Amino acid sequence: MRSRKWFNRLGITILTGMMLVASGCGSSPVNQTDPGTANTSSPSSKDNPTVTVWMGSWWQDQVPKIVEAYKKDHPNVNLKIETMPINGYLDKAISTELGGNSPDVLAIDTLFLAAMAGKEMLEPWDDYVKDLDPHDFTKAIWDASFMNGKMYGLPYRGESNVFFYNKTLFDEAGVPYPKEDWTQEDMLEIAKKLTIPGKQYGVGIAAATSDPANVMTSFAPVLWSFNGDFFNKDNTEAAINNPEGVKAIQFWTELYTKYKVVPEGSTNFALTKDVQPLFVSNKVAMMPGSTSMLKLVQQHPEMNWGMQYAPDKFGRAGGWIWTIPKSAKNKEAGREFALWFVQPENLGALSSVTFPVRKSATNMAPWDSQDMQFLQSASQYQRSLPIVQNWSEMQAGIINELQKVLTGGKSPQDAADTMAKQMNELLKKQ
Amino acid sequence: MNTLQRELHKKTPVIRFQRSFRKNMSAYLLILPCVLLLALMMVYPVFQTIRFSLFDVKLPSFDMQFSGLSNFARIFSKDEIATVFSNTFVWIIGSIILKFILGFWAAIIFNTKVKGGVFLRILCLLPWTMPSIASSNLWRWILQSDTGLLNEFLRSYGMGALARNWLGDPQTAIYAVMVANAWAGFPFVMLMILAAMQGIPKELYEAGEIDGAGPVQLFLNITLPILKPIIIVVLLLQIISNMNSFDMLYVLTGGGPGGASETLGLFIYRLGFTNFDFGGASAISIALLVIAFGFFIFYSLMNNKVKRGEA
Repeated sequence: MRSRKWFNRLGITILTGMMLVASGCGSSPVNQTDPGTANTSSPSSKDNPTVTVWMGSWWQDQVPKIVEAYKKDHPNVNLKIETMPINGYLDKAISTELGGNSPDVLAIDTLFLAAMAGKEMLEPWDDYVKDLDPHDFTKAIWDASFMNGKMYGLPYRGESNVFFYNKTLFDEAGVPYPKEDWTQEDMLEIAKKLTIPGKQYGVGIAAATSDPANVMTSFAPVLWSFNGDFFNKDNTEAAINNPEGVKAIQFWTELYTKYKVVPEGSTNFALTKDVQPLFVSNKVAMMPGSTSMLKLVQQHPEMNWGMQYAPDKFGRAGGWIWTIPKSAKNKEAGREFALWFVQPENLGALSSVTFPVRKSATNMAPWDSQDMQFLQSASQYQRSLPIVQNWSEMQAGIINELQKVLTGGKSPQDAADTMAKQMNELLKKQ
Repeated sequence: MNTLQRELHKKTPVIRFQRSFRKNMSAYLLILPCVLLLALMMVYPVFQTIRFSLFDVKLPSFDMQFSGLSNFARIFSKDEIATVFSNTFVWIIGSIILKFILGFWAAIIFNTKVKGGVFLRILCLLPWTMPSIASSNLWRWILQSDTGLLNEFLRSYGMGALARNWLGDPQTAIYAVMVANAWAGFPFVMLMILAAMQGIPKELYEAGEIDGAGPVQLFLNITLPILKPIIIVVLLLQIISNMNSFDMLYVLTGGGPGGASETLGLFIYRLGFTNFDFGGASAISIALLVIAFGFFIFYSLMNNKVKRGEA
């Protein structure tokens, strides 16, 4: 029996390897850490335990600093960090776990938690976080680390999504900047005034299947603004086809189909890859964003930009957590690294690319700046996506149906009904 | 045992095999590692896929319960399956037509003495040597609706009405990726056709010209018939390779919008690696394997004919 399972795992490993090579989703040499700098292994430290960590590729530049800082505190541990692109991140993480070759610590988006914890692929954290103060962490992200009452991830990144706007385009059109209490309807009216068809657009949305998290950052706050939601309160039945949900789908898709205030290519756009470049080149006037967006606009001193809470203030809480996969070889050392990383002084100093999830880590530069503190203040308005086991599959179905409405293939009601049907079927499978 | 019996004994298949095995044992030993590796990398995954397709696979424990053909029934009753098959059919036919047009065109040019021919040949081979992810992203920049090179070109030359949301419109998405796929894959067709063209004796053309045949007649009556065997082989290889295409579609459209460009390769990936439905993904993979196997048999038959010079 055991050997049969081993053979099954071997099969999955081979199949996964072939698929990932074919899809180009494997961590490319560009995204792997330079062994010379990132891996502290040296001939003299060969016998020391090695802790393997997987993170997103946006941490690439930060990896040597993390390794160096950890080495200082843990001279007898070899820290090996690999970075992977977001495309296919979850697929690779799950396939590797199925193959029994997971790293000791795996960083995942809170969106991925249910997919992994629901398949019993992660170790719980409950017994290891008793010394931590949950109130110091962004609430939405702390809550999103739980599934069925158990904590499966240790939060380290907590993003708040706000709206960035291009002041130049506002000034040129003589449109006042958005106010704190603006609504989705206000946003639409402003977007209409700022749109010059074929030249510039009022707002940026994302609907590409390749980056579902971006689509949810764009769509979910609209759904919440209209008092809609994906599920009922206890996540036992889909609620997206309620009148509020249908209204939200209609509003969001009509930005493209009726009002044409979003770029023409939006059906195939991701926020980071497509909308951000349009924003910095003065072709899109408003878009949702978080720390990475702030870093981007700060790199463009020629830009005149501003930030405001999202319409109706809702934003999708973006969080990343440290998890310990079941097949990790060195779980205790892995936990030690994760707990070390979330210590306020380390989190604040090493998280230069993403917003630290702990308030106590934001008392130092660059987090104490006015802009960063504004992002921090938006955390109270952030909501998390549902933590249900087959969320990835449901999300893919939702995006597929949204694309159909955007391209005129379905009405908002039909699409919402299909989404709800698929979601309910998947809920039953849990 | 008389002489006749001994001769008969020598000729039995078992004895013949034993003799041949003993004679070639060193050769068998030398190829053994390669055979084992092939079995591990090629045969085992196929065996496992067949097994998964007949079982209900529970993850992550890999507990398996025999479910007969229920995975096949479940997958083939999905709403999108007809679209996936029709997209795959359109994708294969369209990609092959484009690759053959480009491949033939380039081969004909390079078969004649053109100034800078060597440089142009290298240039034509570049798309083939480029990693598919790089070429996919290159085409994404070209085909992107708002700032893509193609639409910018059309708009700046007064053809703005032709500009489209190439990758985001269900009417154009699959065809747009098809063009990118043809660009990346035509050098292979070109090389094969060119190699065959260069093997055609010049005397045949000279004889044709003496008989008064023009360039078109020479092409139709000499070049094409001689190229027929290689065309069939390349055609079959292209059918098989396009049947499980994945990377370009994945990067450029992800199968969207709304499943308008989802082919079998993407569908299998979605089932297996987004939904982690290994039973379903294996069932559809087996269906793909059966179709590909049919083409493989046809390919082998044609290949043998080509070797014998019959085709």
